[in-house]
Amino acid sequence: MYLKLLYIFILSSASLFGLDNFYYSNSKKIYLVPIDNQTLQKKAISKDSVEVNYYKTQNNTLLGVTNRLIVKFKSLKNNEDILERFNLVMVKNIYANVYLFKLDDNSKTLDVANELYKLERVEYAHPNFIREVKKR
Amino acid sequence: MRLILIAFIAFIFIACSDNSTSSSDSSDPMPPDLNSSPLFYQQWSINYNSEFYSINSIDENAHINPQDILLTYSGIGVKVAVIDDGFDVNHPQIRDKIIKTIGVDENGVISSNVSHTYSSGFHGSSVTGIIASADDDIGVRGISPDVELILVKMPMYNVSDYVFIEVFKQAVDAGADVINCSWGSGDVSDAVRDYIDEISTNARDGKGVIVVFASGNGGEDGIGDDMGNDESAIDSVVGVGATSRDNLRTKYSNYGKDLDIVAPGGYWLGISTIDPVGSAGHSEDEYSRYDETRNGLAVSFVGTSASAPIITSVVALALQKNSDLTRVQIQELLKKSTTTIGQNTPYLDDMIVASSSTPLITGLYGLAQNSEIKVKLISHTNSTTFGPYSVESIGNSEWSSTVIDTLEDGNYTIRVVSDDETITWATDESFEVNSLKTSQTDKSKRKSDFYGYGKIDLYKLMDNIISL
Repeated sequence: MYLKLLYIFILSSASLFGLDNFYYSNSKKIYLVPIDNQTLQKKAISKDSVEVNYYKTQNNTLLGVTNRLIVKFKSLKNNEDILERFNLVMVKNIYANVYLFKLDDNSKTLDVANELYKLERVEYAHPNFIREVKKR
Repeated sequence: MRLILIAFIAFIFIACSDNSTSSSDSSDPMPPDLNSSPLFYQQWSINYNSEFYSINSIDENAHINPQDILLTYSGIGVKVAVIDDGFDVNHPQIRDKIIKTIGVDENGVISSNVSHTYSSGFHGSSVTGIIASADDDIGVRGISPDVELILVKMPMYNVSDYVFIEVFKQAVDAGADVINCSWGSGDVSDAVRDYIDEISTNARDGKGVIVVFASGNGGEDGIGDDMGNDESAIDSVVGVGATSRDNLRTKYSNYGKDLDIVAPGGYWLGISTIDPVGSAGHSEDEYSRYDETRNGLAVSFVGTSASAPIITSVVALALQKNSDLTRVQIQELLKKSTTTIGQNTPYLDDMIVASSSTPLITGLYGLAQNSEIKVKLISHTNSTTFGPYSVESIGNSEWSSTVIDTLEDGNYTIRVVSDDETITWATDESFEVNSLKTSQTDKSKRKSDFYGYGKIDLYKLMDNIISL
């Protein structure tokens, strides 16, 4: 009983601190903490996206996640089953084996990207992040 | 990680300098002024003008050691792309160099419009001026004045990874040999890194485009940070940090194992360059520069944003000498062609405001946790009353504020008004600033590994290149 409660507590703590949100960059997990969208509403102006969810990385970089993701396949051929399985709709072939896809719901983008990342036939996958660029 | 603009008071430098040391002996490390550009005398990064060096207490080796290189090489035949926030394409010193303009918006839509979005925009123009200002009888002189310019405007907010890639793709499709990026996101994704690797390896007929990134100017505390997962830290990118008139790495300059090279970016004394014509931009005229006609007061361009285009220009000169050089060879040559410099040890101890009149200030960051205040000045009404301290300025936003009180060595008030809707944390509240507290800067954030990076030596670089 206590163990079960502890388990629930750990799970909810992990969720609270955003430990269940991450993406892969350079083969490493980059953890993301969700932040309140309301304060950032006016930044979410990308007209092609229904909604933007904002996160912060541990080094405080602000990242927006829409329903779009970028995937690089190792081969150009025989990827149709992957598109079908994850309901990926192609928006654009960015170059070579790199594609911009969209999902019907941006709440799934991180999870789908991370699932894709683990596939043997995928070199990398991550949300088409929206970010701020700083002049230096 | 911000563009730093520093306004400074030249009388402080004059007071600090010993006029008796001024000399015009024959030991000058390079020939006298090369040309007739009226502001060339103050371009300390590429010109050793003994009088200007003396007045401003500039270390005699603070320049990039051009010797006679600029007389021989000017970037002829090299295409340089500048990716930035916008450009004044009508500025008389760059307009004849532009071969293509490409605007990419937040949705990746392409146009030819690269104008600055805001009337206060200047960054891209100033970056470009360092590279390509004409070698003529007006204004400043670019380091590679005969390059062909490809100007690419990108959004600074809401930039998706896809748009990021599109921006570089446009520059490469337009034939860029070198790409200058005086900005960064701090967190590069796999797709962007992969594309930059791709063009740095396979573009330019398989020799690789040379992509140059500014390493950044620290966080809001203005103290250099580790470059981390920034664009400037990508192996195939040339990451550039900044040095000061003291010939030291500046305290704001980001660092790390992936920093490739440092070049003048300024600290107190900035890098003179162009500014959008007329009332646009951030200075009153077409230049960001040292200006002794206003009691020595000046508004100039400072930061790793200024250092990157110096390296971009240097690469253009190298490619003029030997266009067969690959990106990998350029990186090897740059690392071989440096001089070792030290860290900028003095830090913040005696910065902070004092004084009076009603100087206009942009970008107040308030009192930081360690009791320091950082402001960005854009102009002053009266420099002589601006003592006994001077002002460190950090920031890149379009804020404005006004000093209400007469400032003495004590309490004073600065009212901050945001005129930039994109800065969500702007406030119109007043701040009480205590200059006694501000002198108690927390030095624990000093980084011990600031030193050991080489500063570009142009003469050495050109000597290391075997010509065609």
